[in-house]
Formats: sequence, structure tokens, C-alpha cells
Amino acid sequence: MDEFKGAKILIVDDQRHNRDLVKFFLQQAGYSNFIEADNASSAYDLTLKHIPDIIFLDVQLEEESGFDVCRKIKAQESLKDIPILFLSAFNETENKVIGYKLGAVDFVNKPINHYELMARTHVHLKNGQLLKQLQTYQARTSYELEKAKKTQNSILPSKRELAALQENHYLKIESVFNSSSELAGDYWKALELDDQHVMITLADFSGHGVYSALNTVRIDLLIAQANKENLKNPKKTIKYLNKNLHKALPSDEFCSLVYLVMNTQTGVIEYVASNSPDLYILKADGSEPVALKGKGFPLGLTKNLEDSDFTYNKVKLNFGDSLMAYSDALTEEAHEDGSRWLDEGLYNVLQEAQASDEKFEYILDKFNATVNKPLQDDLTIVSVTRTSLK
Amino acid sequence: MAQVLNMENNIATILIDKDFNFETHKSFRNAVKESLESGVKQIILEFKEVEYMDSTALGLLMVAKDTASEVDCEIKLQNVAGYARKILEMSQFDKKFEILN
Repeated sequence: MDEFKGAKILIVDDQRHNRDLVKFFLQQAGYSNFIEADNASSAYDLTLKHIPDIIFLDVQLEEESGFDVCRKIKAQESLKDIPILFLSAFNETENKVIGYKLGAVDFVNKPINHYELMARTHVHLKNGQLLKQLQTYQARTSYELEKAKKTQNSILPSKRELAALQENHYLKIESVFNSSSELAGDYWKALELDDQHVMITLADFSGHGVYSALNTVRIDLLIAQANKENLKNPKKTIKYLNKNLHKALPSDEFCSLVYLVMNTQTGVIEYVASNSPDLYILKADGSEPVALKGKGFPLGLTKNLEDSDFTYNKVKLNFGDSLMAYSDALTEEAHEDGSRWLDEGLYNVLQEAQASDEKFEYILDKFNATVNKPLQDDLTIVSVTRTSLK
Repeated sequence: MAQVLNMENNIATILIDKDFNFETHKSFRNAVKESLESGVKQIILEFKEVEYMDSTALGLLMVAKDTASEVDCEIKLQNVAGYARKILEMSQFDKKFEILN
């Protein structure tokens, strides 16, 4: 009982001897901080003023019933979590049902049993304390996650950076970044390497949530620390990222990766990919989408990646063509009818999108129209279109 | 859920049920541990009931392989088909693990 000795206890009963009796029993248990009310309106006012830790409330008050007082207290945001125990001379089930529906936590029947009162008081003070701790923890965690989400968003390409890539390299980059929880295990970046080369990368770390999100910061740092000349070499880069992620990640964590370098003068793209769903080229002439394999051993699981452990390819984007990369949520998320797009479903949508002027928007709208929300996994889609020279 | 199906001739067979994901991790680790403690030199992971696997499963497979190799035990995968086959091919785990079908 010691931990709740200082608890503020409000006793509401229009009969003084009833209030004295409850007080006497609780004093025996070591409680000493009492507030008393003998009618409904002062009960509410005192609750508002003192915010007690627990309220004993007689059902039969003179002007209003205890139920009405309870209803009023529970309607007030700042008071609704205070545990209310009804004191009642009648042991009727109907009353109890009403009381519990109003949010009371317990009933204490009169004549009051000393030990029962003490035991119930302790239990509800304890529960009240746990609830407060949980609410504080939730509020703090929500706040910290919001801050962390802003940090995570700040490592993604900004609108200004993407606008600069459009202006200097005639690249239109469209993207979607949706985390399934507050923080994402997905990451993407677009960076100018020199006046003719741009890199775009997309990584999907295993799992999602806080620990995955921390890994996205790791890979961002690895890229930021790397020499830009080295970043122009996709094979070298994937091996560098793998080696360093292997050092840093726990043994069962890894990521999928797409990493491409585009010569923005010629439209030639060199890319590497590992454990990645197929990439697609959507041609400006409306012809069939072209699938590019992205298979390879996940990054971070072994110390060294051999050339045979990942996909390397060279393709060319003509003016108006787009290259699309995405995390596997796009093909794996369940839709309203229980189906998943999988590779075939996505391909069908891409075929339809070819007829649209806004291909990226078409694909996204189609996805969002029927996918079950909230998403079970993080979704990232990046599409780069080679726009024509002015 | 994953469980040891049988252990004979120094080979343990672990059956994995239809969803091989985060929910499976505890039972999978326990089944592998139980098998290794009994001294088998080969563990066969039975995939015939697996309909879905995610990235957690890849991590579990890798950790199991590393742990098993420390005691000279080999892990093989059996009856891998459909979606599971696709995931293992995409990750090139089909090159890291022998697949018996």
C-alpha cells in the first residue's frame, strides 16, 4: 500500500456517516489525502479542481444520481481516466450494468466490507498508475517517432534537388515513399555525380519500423562518404555497400538494392541490382514494357559479393522513356479481393499505363484504388524519365 | 510454425507451414536448435506446405545455415515451389542452398 499512500481520494456521499466510514477504513490502510463532497455538483467541481486519483461515488445522491455525475466526469477529456468506484446499498445487476457501461471500474456494496474496500482501492490505484505511465510513454514515443520520421524524410531527395536534376540533366524523377509504420525500412536517393552522370538508388531493408529505419541512415552515410568517382562505378559501389553493411548489420538483417548510373547525355544506364523485383522500362512509343531482372544475393549477409552474386546490366533510355524501380510492396500487398498483383498483375497495369499521358500517376492510382490499408510493408516507387532537350 | 517432423539416419526433417515469416521465427529457431543438439549432420527443410515467405524467412535461413555449418551440419531445402521458389531465385538463395525436389 505504501506506494499509493499519498493518493488523492474523493468520496462522494450525501450521508456524512457513510463518508466517515469509507475514510476510516482507508485511513487504516495508510491513506490520508481525502476530499469530500455531499452532492453531485460539488463532486464534479471538486473533481475538476483536484483531479483525484480515485473517486468513491454513491449511486443514490439527492439532486442527481451518481450515474449522472459519472457520465459528466467521463465526458470531460481531462477527467475521463480517473477510476470511479460506485458505492451502492443495492446489489442489483441492472445498476451494475449501467454503472459499467458509463465507465465505472467497480462497485462496492454497502454495508462496506473493510478488507474488500482496501483490496479494490489498491487494485484500481495501481491500474490508474499503469494507465498514466502507458499514456505518458505513448505520448513520448509518438513525439519521438514524429521527429524521427522528419529526420528520415530529410535524407530523401528534396523537391529542390529533384528540380535541379530536371533542369541540369533533363530528368523527370517521380517517386512515392509510404511507410507502413511511422518509420520506413525503404530508402532512395538521386544524386548528381558530375555534369553528365546521375545516380539513382533504391534500397529495401529487411523488416520495417524503427530498426529498419536506422539502417537507412547507415546506407545514406555510406553513400555520402563515398568518393563520387567511385560512385560512378555500379559494380564497385554495390560491393562497397555490401562490405560495409555486412560489418554493421546483425546477422539476419540485409537489404535489397537497385543502383544505377545514367549518362544523361547518351541515355545509357549501367545498373546493378540484388534481391530486387524486376525493374521496368516504359517506352515513349507505347510498346510493351521491358522487364529487367534484379536478382542477386541480399546485401549485408556475406562479407564479399562476387560478380555472380548480383545482376549487372546496361540499357539505354531514349527521350520520353522511363525506368521504374520499386520495393516489393507494390507487387506483394493484398488488395480488397484478397489478391496480390505479383509480377503478372503489375505487368498488366504497366501495359495499361502505356496508354496514359501520366503513367506514374496511373500506376499509383490503380494501386491505391484497391490495396488494403494500412499497408503491411513500406512502399517506394521511383521512376526516372528522360525528357527531351529544350 | 515450424516443427521437427522426424529424425533418422542422422538427418532431421523440419516441416514449415504455409506462412514462413516473422511469426515462424521462434518455432523455426527452436526446431533447428533441437536438430543440431541431437547431432544430425543434415537438416532438410520441407517446403511442400509453404505458400508465402518474406524477408524474415531469408534471414532465418541464413542464420540457420551459419549455425549449422559451425557443427558440420548441412542444410538443404526440399519441395520448393511457387512463390517460395520465386523468392529464393530472386535472392539467389537457390545457389546458396541445395534444393531437392
